[in-house]
Amino acid sequence: MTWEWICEHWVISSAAALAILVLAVRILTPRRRKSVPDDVVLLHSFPRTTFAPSSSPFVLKLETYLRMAKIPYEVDDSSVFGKKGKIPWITLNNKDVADSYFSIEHINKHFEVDLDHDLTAQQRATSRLLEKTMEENTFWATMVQDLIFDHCDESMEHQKIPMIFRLLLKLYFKRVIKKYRWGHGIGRHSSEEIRHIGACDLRAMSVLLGDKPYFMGDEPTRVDATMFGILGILVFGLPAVASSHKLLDTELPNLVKYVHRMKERFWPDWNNIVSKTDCSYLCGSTGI
Amino acid sequence: MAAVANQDKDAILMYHFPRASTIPSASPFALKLETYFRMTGVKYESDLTGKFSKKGKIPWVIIDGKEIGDSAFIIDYVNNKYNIDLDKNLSDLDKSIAHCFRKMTEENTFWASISYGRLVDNFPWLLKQLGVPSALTWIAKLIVRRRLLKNMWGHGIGRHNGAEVRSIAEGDIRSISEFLDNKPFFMGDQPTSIDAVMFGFLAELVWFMPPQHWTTKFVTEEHSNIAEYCERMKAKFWPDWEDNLKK
Repeated sequence: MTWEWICEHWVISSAAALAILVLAVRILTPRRRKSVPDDVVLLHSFPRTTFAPSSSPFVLKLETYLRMAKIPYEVDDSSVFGKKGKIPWITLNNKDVADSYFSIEHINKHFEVDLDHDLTAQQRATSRLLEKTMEENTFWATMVQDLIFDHCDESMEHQKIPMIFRLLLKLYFKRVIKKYRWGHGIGRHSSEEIRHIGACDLRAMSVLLGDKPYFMGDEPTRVDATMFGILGILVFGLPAVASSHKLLDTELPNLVKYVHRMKERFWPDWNNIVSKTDCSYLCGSTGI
Repeated sequence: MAAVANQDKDAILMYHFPRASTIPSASPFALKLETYFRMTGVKYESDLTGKFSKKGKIPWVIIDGKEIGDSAFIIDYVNNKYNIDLDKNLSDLDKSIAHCFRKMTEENTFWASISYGRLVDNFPWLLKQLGVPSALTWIAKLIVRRRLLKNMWGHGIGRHNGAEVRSIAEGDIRSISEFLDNKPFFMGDQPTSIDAVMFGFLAELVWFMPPQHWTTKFVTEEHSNIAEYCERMKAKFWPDWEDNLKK
């Protein structure tokens, strides 16, 4: 019965088989890791996209942090996953560190950096809770909900994701992410409940930013990397019809202005960085 | 449907776990919700059979003939129904801070401290506390613990090693302690809705973690303002604490 289905739907089946073959070649082909000098961070990420330096809010967060802290770095866009099965991860002086949070902790320790040195204990507490709220809750209730579940087709079109990857996302990754968010807990709610959760978070963050230029005051601190990472994808990576993008546009203009402020300050080369073509998801800068 | 004999029809029926030996509930979310009912004076009765909701979680309630799951949605519904607002004297800024504290505690700290401490480490202790016969321990480890570990992998916390998880939990709890400082309640002189959340969670660390677990010492000695806060909340809203423990 499976074989009959494959024969009847040969276009979809061929595209899926081709995508699997391409991925298998990329995974199995031995690659020499890009070498960088000592004390230069090698940031392992996905290829550049057409709408932002990365489709991953955690890559955008980490790369923005490196720029904020003026840490020398280079990018490896070969999409090789780290030991925890995620991207981003870094290599610094031959030591691999996975996860953006632990990468930043490692960078801070190695380079003796502390972007929060002027914050009081209460401000540091507020900064941490903002970061954790955004990464552990808002991310799921806004970006994941809009991109993968509510507006998948429109988002993939907006992000100019190649057809092959669109099929993979819909046929495979969507199921995987559904299981992840069930485990997280947020996946047990209805779509309407999840959107409500996300909207409450964004409104709270808008109040917490107020009319300040950055979340903790006049100068950017560590939490701004996280906030820009995720809000940036909501602003640039989602179509106008997406609930969280619409909410930002219509009700929370201070968050949108904040995103543009961070972009202008830390990404003056944004237009040179983003990909000019939509094949980069497969090719990257290193090619197949 | 009700498993409570002679249930008061004006009372909300709350479904949660049986009482534990040192704390009214092993679930921080059930303790939060029950504390909230006590803070607001809303009448409730308990079904302690441990029956799960349609979302596969505890606690849940039946109100107006409807099943409502998730403690946050239940509190919203109760607030609307009875026109309650424990946060009416808070500024928008304070409400937003409280909102984010709830999210961090429930979506991050809970996993890194309570979940990890009881499920990844010390699972047999938890089973014994919940009264699971020792003959069934191996089944619980094979089926239940595996399912819970998969949940933690999906969440993300399950991808870190023990030392990393501890550092995450310590950072969160330190932030909670610093923000609480020496205030009587989380947002100031009067209890607000965030106090139900924080008490529900912090009380578990004070009174229901495995013996010698690092979290208990962390909140009773290194950040003792947390334990003192829990004692205050317990005295104010749970004067009958001992009557609500497993006999």
